[in-house]
Amino acid sequence: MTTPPATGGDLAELGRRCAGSRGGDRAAFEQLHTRLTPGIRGFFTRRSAGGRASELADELTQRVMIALFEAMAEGRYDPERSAVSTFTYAIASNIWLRHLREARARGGVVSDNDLDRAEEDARSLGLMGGPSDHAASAELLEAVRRCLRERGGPGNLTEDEHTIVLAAAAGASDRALAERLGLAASTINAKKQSGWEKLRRALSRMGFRGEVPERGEGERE
Amino acid sequence: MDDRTLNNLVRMAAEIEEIERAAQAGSSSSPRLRLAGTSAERPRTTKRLPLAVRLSPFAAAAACVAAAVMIGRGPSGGTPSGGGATPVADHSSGRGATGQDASRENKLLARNGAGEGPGIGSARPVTMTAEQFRAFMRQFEAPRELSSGVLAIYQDAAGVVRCVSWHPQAFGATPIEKLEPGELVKATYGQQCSIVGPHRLIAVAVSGPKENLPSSAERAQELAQCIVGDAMIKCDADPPTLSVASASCVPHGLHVMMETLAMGRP
Repeated sequence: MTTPPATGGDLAELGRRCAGSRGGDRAAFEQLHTRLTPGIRGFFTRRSAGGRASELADELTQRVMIALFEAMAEGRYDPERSAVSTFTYAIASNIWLRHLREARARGGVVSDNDLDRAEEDARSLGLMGGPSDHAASAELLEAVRRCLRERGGPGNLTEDEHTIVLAAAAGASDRALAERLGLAASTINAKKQSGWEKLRRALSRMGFRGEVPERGEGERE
Repeated sequence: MDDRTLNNLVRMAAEIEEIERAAQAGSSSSPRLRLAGTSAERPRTTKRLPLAVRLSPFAAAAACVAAAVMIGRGPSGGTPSGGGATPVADHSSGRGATGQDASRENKLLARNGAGEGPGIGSARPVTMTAEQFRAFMRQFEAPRELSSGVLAIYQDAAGVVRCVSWHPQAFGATPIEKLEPGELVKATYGQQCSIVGPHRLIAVAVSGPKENLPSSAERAQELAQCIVGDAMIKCDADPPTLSVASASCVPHGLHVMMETLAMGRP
């Protein structure tokens, strides 16, 4: 049996109400919409610029919230598998990729860099197949969040491994971290590799292997 | 699962934490994060430029009178609707730690500033909030190679694009925002393209991460078609419209500056 995700109380409760009512609890969904919109909008704002960046972020955020509502109405969101924020993030990632592909197909100027990164993210989440993968992708992301969030939890990373793995994900090079932290670059690299290996093993124990979230033979926590 | 995939997943997990923080910031029941023993956080304020300043570039462009030689300068691109700033979108802005427990990062990070001896995991008091940690993270984001260039689009009297040329690094290290009015068209006109009869030069300067700039003649042509095509669809090709079209066509993360020069028009 999976451990339900631990999130901010209100948000988790709203997610459960919306899921339980299959979207019928309009008040709950409106609150969820209000709470999630700023963060989702920030997701798109960080990825777009130009004269229409703000307008584009608004438009794509609305698409995400519509898709979220539809998913809840159709029973595709399970609060036991992922937090509502994680599930919404999976939707947003997919919508961003679709937007870039559509823009390029229409003849818009989309940098190869942007498209490559969006496709790589989708591959990491196993989203290449389409919307039905949101729940599975969200579950994978939730597992990663648990590993990083819970001290002594499934990941069991040390404080240093935790810090270095997060800094590396934010773009820090080993050398830059080494200079900043007064450690040898080799030490930074060793701790990073160690952190990743712990994550890899923890995810594998939870049934996540490879880029596509598929179930292995082992036990699920 | 390879290292790159893990790295991507960790980054995405950190982004989700940002979304949850934004969601909790909107909840009155959630306590504000603050350092133990300090006063409450200062409220954030957002400055907005006065309306006149935000609209002035368009007002200036509209005041240009058609003459034998017409020079128009459009506003800088990257301007969000209704705003006056010219942000450059940062792919990695906002990324940060899954900083639910700031003390985990702080114990490692605070050690560096104190000059104390090595000792990973030494028990130091918390000295950095989650926001400060994210700011710390941002300084490690890999710097991207910056570059600039000018796209020159020549239209004939019928609006048909006759020639497109791309001039990488046309102004060297000079930021395009520092160009004087008219400098853009002066540096670009007549370079590589020669048009007979009434025509117009649309000079679009772009600067930013090199990987987002046109990397070939084909990419330059695509950008030109997007700018002119978009403006034509709007049935209006005055400098402000072209400028907005320019800004919407370029990839994210680029500054845009545009000037036009009409030759041989009454």
